[in-house]
Amino acid sequence: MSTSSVKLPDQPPTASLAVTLGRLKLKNPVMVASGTFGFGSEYADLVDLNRLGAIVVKAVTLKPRVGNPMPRMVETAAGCLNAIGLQNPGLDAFLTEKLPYLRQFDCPVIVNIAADRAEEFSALAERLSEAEGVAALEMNISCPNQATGGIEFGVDPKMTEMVVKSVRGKTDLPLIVKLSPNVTDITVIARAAVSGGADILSLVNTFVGTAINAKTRKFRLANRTGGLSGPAIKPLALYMVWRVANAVPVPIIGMGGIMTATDAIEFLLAGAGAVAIGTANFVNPTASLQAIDGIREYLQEYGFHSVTEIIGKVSS
Amino acid sequence: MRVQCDAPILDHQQLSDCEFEITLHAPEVAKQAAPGQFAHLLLSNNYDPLLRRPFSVYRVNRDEGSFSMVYLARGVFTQGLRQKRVGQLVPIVAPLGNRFVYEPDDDRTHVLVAGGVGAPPLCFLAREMVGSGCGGRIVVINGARSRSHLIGAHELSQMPVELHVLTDDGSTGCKGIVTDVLADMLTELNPSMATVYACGPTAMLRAVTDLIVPVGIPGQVSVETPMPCALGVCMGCVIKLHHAAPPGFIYKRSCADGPIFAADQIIWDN
Ligand SMILES: Cc1cc2nc3c(=O)[nH]c(=O)nc-3n(C[C@H](O)[C@H](O)[C@H](O)COP(=O)(O)OP(=O)(O)OC[C@H]3O[C@@H](n4cnc5c(N)ncnc54)[C@H](O)[C@@H]3O)c2cc1C
Ligand SMILES: Cc1cc2nc3c(=O)[nH]c(=O)nc-3n(C[C@H](O)[C@H](O)[C@H](O)COP(=O)(O)O)c2cc1C
Ligand code: FES
Repeated sequence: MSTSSVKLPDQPPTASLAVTLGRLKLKNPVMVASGTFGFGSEYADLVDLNRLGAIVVKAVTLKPRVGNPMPRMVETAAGCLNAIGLQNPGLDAFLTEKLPYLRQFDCPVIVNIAADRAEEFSALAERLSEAEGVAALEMNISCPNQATGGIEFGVDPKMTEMVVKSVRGKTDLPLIVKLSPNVTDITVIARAAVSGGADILSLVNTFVGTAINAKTRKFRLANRTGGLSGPAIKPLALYMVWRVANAVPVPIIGMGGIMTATDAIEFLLAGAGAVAIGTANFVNPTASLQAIDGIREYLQEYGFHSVTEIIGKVSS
Repeated sequence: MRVQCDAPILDHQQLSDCEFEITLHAPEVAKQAAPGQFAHLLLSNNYDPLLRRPFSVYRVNRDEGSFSMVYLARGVFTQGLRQKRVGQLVPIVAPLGNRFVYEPDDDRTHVLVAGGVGAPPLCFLAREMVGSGCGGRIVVINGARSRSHLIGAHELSQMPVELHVLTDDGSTGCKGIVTDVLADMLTELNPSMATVYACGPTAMLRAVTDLIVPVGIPGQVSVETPMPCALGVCMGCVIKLHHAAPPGFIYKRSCADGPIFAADQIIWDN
């Protein structure tokens, strides 16, 4: 029986989830955060990668890194601290083993890059720009800068601008700069990154913290300190996203403790043009897909035609 | 293939003071799960605790489409798990990790060394070995702190295996630790015709490898580390292994590359 002539009851047309972050076009605003989704293949039997707004891969460094000693992660109240030490197979293995796999999906691949020297950042950017299938670069500037004895690039506006500029000169790809929240005023660093040539800002990376075992009187992490992620950091992250969105003209990717669609919507309302799901992927491997579905339902429920209608629309 | 689902509790039994067996309905898991593999369980959606915990598969019932795990109620997760009632749902991702492997061979000696809450996967292994008629001599050394911490001893005593039961306090079996029995056995084992399978506390695994590696007996050791994701992405569960290239070691993920590693590959740090 044909139903083409039957008039359906009044239903709003499906709301559009597409977003545009500068030159980066996404079919929906939900990506997966660096370091929480590996190189995609690890999730492929549980998550349809084609549905994701984008995949941000684990940090890639110029040379392979073995990573920190164990213990590397501890659970804390509604969060976890990690000190993985950027364990990754290095740029060559990424290009030959990981990237070809990711190319088969209809999903933009954003490569998170990390380095402890500005020249290394530039070299990574140069080589990744020649590779096929990279949609954008995300600079992890929460790395210690060896030239300054290990002070993070991302805590000083001059260093931030300098290192972003050096990468900007080597790539035409959309350049995302991922901000560290471990600063006095994140808008100062945000402006410095934009002056350096960032097209998009992503925030937040993890908050530095520690955990101590009272019984043994020892640090719980071999590295002593680690980065806090998960629901515990959500209010802090949301506040920073809102402040940065109001301080710079470039699009923002918001993250930090997003577990549900409602959390994601709050970041969009605060001014993020897209969001990234991090630690939630560990707790619920399909958290990203549920966020996409939940955002769509929210838009239908409140009568929005496009997700872009809610970006930055928080009011007092 | 791994599945993510909300599995209903079919049965939840108290085995001793603080040990419980929980049986979940999950036909896909029951069909696939092998000895040594585990399930990653989520306690609640209110982030307390936030992360999942891994539990070894103890028993599978393929007709019923169920599998069970045995746990020791000791901390926030397991104390919460014991409150769950039959019919409630438990979110799981399973089966995960690699399995114990054995060669069917009438001349081989299999030595299963189980410590405390490390016993469930080895009981599963013994059951499979006996059921599949793998032949050879099967020795099970099952140790625990006390009688109430011992898992699987009754079932093992009914199987055609050589069973040694030990407790630290002598409340059942012999008073002593599993490596005492293993050490006594070593001289009678032919390294090329014996395999050791071990699961238990890290100190025990280390003592087992210290005994067998120098004499060349191959061992399959199931390690225990925290497992934040158990999907192979966070790198928070790594174990240090020997590696030819500099710096002489490599970190491998115990969730995805393990949890079972060759005894002679592991570097035990202090
Ligand atoms: C592959 C694998 C299989 C496992 N199978 C079983 C099983 O069959 N039955 C079972 O009871 N448990 C098993 N475990 C351990 C289990 O995952 C939990 O860690 C344990 O039950 C404690 O959880 P909890 O939240 O109740 O305790 P917590 O409150 O987390 O901790 C209690 C104490 O144990 C310590 N601890 C917690 N987790 C770990 C860990 N992973 N490694 C070392 N110390 C830790 C804590 O620091 C604390 O001192 C397995 C672990 C692994 C890696
Ligand atoms: C285990 C782990 C590894 C991470 N690795 C990286 C990384 O390699 N590069 C990076 O920029 N951020 C990394 N992050 C930070 C996340 O991408 C994200 O910014 C942060 O965890 C906050 O989001 P969340 O609370 O949703 O996890 C990592 C986070 C975790 C938990
Ligand atoms: S638990 Fe995350 S990689 Fe193994």
